[in-house]
Amino acid sequence: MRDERSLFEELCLPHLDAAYNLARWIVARDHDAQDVVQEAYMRALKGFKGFRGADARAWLLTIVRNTAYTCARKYSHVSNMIPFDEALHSTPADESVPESFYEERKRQLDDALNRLPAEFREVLVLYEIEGWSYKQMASALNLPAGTVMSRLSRARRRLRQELAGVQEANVQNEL
Amino acid sequence: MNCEEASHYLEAFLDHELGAKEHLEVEEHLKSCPACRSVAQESQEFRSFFAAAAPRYEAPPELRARILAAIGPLPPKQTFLSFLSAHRPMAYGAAVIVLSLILALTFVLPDKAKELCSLAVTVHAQSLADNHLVDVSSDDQRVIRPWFAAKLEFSPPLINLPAPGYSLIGARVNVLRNDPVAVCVYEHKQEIVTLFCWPASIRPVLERAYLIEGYHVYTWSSSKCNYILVSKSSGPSLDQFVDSFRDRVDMFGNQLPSTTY
Repeated sequence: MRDERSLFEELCLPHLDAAYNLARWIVARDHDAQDVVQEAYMRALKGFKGFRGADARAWLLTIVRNTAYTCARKYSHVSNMIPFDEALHSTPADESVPESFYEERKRQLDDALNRLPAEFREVLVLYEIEGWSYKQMASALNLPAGTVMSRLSRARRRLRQELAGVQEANVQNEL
Repeated sequence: MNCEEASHYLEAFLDHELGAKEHLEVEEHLKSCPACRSVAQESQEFRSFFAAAAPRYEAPPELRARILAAIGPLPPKQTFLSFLSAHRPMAYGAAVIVLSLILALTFVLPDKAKELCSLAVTVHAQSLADNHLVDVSSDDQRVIRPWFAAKLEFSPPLINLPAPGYSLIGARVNVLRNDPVAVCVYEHKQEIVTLFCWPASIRPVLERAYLIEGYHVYTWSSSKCNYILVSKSSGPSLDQFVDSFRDRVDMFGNQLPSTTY
């Protein structure tokens, strides 16, 4: 019992940053992401007896992902997890510190990501940051491989459209 | 392939996730179609930007404490003596098994492992002598991953920059004692460092460090793969290399990656 519990900590705690990053990408709010990760670790501990796989990180992240969705259903007031948070979406009022072009684009990227459906953010973070293959995503998300391919492709396209929209709006504001 | 189909497959093509047939067809189409080529170019540019700018969130420090508190304290340690007296017959059996295991691990495995390491050193030295370091020359795992996938039944973890100063220059496949192994070649201060990797199911190795023919050799296993690292020099940066692999590997275990579609 003790060994199993130590093993759990040894295998799962090192992936805390990855777990938080994934949750934060999917639910898009810091506080909710923390709740999701805590709940996911509780579930992982309960299910740990059944874990005989080799890849604790992928196993844990799949639990985080599933927990993010069930939590979102529980708090249905955040509906489809596309929060519209004034602080997140308004441009900063204090313009005294000029942003570099890159910083500005980076912030626009954050905003654009927040406007995407959670399903799109999910495939983006799993592919681009966690480095999962289409096949791994298909199995963890329980989707056909072809759906993973088209979802990721649509996510990228939509993200680029969102970003292009922001830039267009900026140009129009300046005119 | 027409533009519509090419556009459908374009992102998967750039991800190196298409099967060989579709991959070639998209490639052919891009050669002949400037419009799609420019879309592909834009997508590539966006990918570079996204890879650099996508947010990476770190867990707030209090989260770790919250989780440790939520999963509760470790159950108390049962003392060894109380365990023994409760399970005496089992304990004798277990003692015999443990003792034989220790003997086996001490006297048998390390010798085998050292033999394997000597082999790795020979292969490393040979690759330097022949100046045949890599078969695929790239530091991009999206190039190396499919290359390995075509040659091996497992997919080794790939890390471009395992520690400061170590850059991946490419990969090749060697055979060590009849088993094909993935070889990643790194350069560090103009020295070549070779990393051999094969599935842990074939021939597990123990964590050891050797000095063989003037080379520093490290062996270790992760859950999915065994590793042998051969380097002329050693030091904290090499330790960091090993630690980094230990921490970051296994996203690309041997189930991966499928290139069929």
